[in-house]
Amino acid sequence: MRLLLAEDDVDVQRVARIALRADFEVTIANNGADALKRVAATNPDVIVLDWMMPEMDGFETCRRLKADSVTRDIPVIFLTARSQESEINEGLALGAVGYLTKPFDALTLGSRIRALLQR
Amino acid sequence: MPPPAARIPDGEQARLAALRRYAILDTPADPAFDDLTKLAAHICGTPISLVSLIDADRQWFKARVGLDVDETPRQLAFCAHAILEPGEVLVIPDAMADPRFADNPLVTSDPNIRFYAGAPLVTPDGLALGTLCVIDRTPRTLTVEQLDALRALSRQTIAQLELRRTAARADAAHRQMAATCETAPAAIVILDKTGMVVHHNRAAEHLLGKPPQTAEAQRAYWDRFALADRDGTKRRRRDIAPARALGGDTVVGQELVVSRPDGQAVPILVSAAPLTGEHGEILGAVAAFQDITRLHEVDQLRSEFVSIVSHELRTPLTSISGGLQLVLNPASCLKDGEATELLQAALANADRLIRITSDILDLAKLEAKRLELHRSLCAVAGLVETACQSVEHAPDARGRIQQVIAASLPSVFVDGERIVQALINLLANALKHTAAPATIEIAASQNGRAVTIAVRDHGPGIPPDDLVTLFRPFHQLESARRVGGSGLGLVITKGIVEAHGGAITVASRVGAGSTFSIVLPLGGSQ
Repeated sequence: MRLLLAEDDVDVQRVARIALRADFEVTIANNGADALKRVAATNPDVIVLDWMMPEMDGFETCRRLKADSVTRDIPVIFLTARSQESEINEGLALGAVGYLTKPFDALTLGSRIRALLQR
Repeated sequence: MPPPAARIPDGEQARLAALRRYAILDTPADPAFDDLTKLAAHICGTPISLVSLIDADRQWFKARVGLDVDETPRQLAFCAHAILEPGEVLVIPDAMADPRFADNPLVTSDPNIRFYAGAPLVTPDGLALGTLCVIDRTPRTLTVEQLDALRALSRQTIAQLELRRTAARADAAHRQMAATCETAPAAIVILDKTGMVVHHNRAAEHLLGKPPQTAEAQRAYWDRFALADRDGTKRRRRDIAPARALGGDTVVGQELVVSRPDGQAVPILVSAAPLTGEHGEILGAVAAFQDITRLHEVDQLRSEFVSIVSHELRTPLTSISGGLQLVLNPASCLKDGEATELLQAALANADRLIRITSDILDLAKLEAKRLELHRSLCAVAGLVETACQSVEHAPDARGRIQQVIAASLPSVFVDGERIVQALINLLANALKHTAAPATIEIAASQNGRAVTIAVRDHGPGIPPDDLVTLFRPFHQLESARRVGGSGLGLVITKGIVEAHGGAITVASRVGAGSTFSIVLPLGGSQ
């Protein structure tokens, strides 16, 4: 399965890439705008978005993905430090299939994403 | 020879004070009292009847039948004798036969008093203010029934006085309440039991407009309340506080949204209570509305702040805990060098956490104005040198700093460590935002009663729009994060400088670089 991760922090990128490579073919984008550019080339099965990123944040990215008929059906999962209840509800209201918070468990991140995709 | 005057009763000062409290002396005629004297004269069959009040040196008539004067000297007053026995009616069947009155000019000449009966006007606390009296020009007596009636009428006279006083008090209380209501910052409306506005204050008119005059307008008035809670939950009209108050409930702190007359929707806090009558029946309701727009803004800022702080703390924690988990778990199948990379990243992120937490603590102290300054006289050159060394010798140093210190600068009376911290923030920022290998300048000079220390870089500069928000917490989050800052450095620097009574300014041109200047007053140092 192909996974596109938008995350601006290089250290988190490294941890996520290693944590997910057993389950997914991982492509990293440095922010939301970068992720939108890479969607066509990578044709991902799932897109994982951080929320707070420079240039384009995860929410705007999700909104654009859901507004585009080509990308609308790709499942989106948020992976973010924003963990207030209102923020989680806001994220899910945008059409995300899951909302995971940081810090995450690196050993189970892959299986949690798989579980969300099977629902 | 003047007639013998009545003695002054015990507690005369209290009696006169009570008389003043009723505020009745020298007031215009009042039909209520006139009627009482008419009744007394009629029942007792006398040509004269008076409501007489005994002042310090006169008796003054609040009401009179058959007599044309308003007052007479107290020395001549029959009533001054009557008040000596508050519980008794003083009856003088024939004044000519009574040694107290036989020589009284009121007896020997006009109005030729022969018969007098006076029932004292006794206040609820037992003070006799005067009498209700009846007078005749021939000797006579009163029947038991007439005496009884005279006593009853004197009680009615006091009841009238009490009533006037209660009404005056109520009136004063009402005016006080109206003035309080008018100046209250909250919008206050008083409703009758049908929900019509019967009173409103200025704040209410500002927030809700003129109150409705018709049932039609009343509906429109209440329709302006969007009947929505802050979270957008719809409320039925009968659930909003004023409506519930009319149903007998007291509601405190209900949050609603209302459209002001200018169309703007504002969040409001509403409290309302029923106004009840003597027997608990609901006569109406009072409702107070408070515009809480500002409170909402503060709340939102705080929520944003929590989000950002949470993000700033959780992001490095993710790298630390995730990295350590992967290194420690044999199933991670790490490639060559990855374990070292993950551990180095964990260490760097731990440092980042330490910096951020210490910055957040500094910020909290500054905002609570609890930053303690340990001031001493410090040489400016020494402060600058210490800051430069710290920045140049940092492990990630990437440039050099040129120092331009004016000769014979006076020392400043400051907390040296805090000023060095502020300078390090400015120098580190300047280096971070300039392409390596960077050269930045720090210059110190005296301007009158102040010393200015300016840090100048030749970086990309700051767009004018961003200059405005530069000193807000986490404003530079994105760019600062790229270069490893907490987003709080400038806020803290500003706070430190201002705690010293100084100021920080920034001048910047896009493409040409920025200069941050701190100005420290010399006032306390010399």
